Amino acid sequence: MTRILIVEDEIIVAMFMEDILAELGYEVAGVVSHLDEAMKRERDFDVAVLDVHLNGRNVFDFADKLTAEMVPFIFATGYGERGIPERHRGCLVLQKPFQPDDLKRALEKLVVPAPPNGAAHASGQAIST
Amino acid sequence: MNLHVSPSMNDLAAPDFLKDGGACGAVLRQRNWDATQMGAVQDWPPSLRVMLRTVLASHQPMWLWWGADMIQFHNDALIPLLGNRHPDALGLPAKRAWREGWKQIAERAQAAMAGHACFFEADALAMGRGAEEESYYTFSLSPVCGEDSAVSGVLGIITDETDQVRSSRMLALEIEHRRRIERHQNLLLDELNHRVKNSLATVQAMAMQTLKGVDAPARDAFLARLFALSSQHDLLTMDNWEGASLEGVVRRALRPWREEGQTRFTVDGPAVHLDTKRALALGMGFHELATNAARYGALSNTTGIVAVSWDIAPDGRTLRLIWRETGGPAVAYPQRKGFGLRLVEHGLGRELGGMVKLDFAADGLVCEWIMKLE
Repeated sequence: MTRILIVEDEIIVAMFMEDILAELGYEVAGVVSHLDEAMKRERDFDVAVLDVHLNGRNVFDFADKLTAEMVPFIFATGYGERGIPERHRGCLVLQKPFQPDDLKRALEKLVVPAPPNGAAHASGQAIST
Repeated sequence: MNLHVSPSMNDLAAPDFLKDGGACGAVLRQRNWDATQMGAVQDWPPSLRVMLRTVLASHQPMWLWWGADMIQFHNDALIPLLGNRHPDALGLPAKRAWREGWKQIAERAQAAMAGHACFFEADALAMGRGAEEESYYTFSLSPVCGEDSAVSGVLGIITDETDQVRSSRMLALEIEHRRRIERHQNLLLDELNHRVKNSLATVQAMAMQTLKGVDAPARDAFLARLFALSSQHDLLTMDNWEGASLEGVVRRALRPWREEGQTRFTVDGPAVHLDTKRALALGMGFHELATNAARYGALSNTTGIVAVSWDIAPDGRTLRLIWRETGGPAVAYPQRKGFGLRLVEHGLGRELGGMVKLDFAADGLVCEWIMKLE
């Protein structure tokens, strides 16, 4: 099953994303709300969803690290595309607030499509990337 | 005694050729030149006389330097630029006439005497305004040939550019100042957008959590309104919160109901700019009308059409806006008006300072707004 890391400092939004991801059939590897924590995180995830502003710092150092390690990620930000620096233009950007479907479509562009709803626990259907 | 004759080239021959030279000409005429290195006036060469007459008669600030010591002759137009150097400077060697300003142009003056014409634009010179006051001049120095075709003097032509230089500097400062304000405003706007969006995302998450499994239609209606609000904010963000076009507001509000390859909406009207308050209020109004149409009206079947049109009254500031549904199921006057229609009918009427009329015509709902634009 594809494991997703949520990088988000708004705890309610993070919980919401956990629920959506579970419903979509993904495994949530964890929620991280500080940049330092994100930078130190072991590679126990396949994809990351990144809030841009984390407790007063921006997430771009971590995005650089993921780019270097070839780990796919999605930005989720209130700024929309114009808050993304030149070097990360072309990355997937979700404009907050977003609908569960928007997140689903973005993830499907990055990884093998999630199994149909509710089928997540059936063995052999979810393919880890 | 009647020596006055009309000025003509013949006068150049007369010792009285300085008489049409204004105040400077008068000073020069009264001076006894015999004892100076210039010698008696009647012996001055024709080339000097022609030049001097031209300079003295001109309204353009000018001077002439003549001879090895560059004796200065200037005209009345130059007097304001010389300050207290006039009238002493008349007939003095340039070096003394220009006092502390001489070192700034001595080299250029000597180059002109050596036959090299030159031109300077908005150059800082210590003229008569005083050394402490910055002043700028555009001027040229041109060699003047005497009878033997050798350079005998220099013609200086000058324009005071101080005011222009100062105002263009002020303008540059003002532009820089405005740029700084603009950058600051953009930062604030980015922060505002970010906070609004994050707050909306939090509200969305709370609603999803709170209403989970409780009342799906209520939750969906709430989320649709939240997204309508969020979407209209995007429109305002794109224009830095300076408002939005009416057409943009309409199209954005109707976006969730658009279907690929199908024409369910027509949008037609002249370009109208809305301020942020009107843009947000109308955006929400269209959202409610479309929601209502999707439940009961023209968007509830596969054939209905919504036509949105507007025009501006001849006074240029009264907007008349019509939402007209056709092709939907037969319309009956609702027994109870929900939040959406109440918002459209009363809320918007009050908020936009206009008049709203809802007509539940049998072949489709018609909503007409009339409001003043600022």
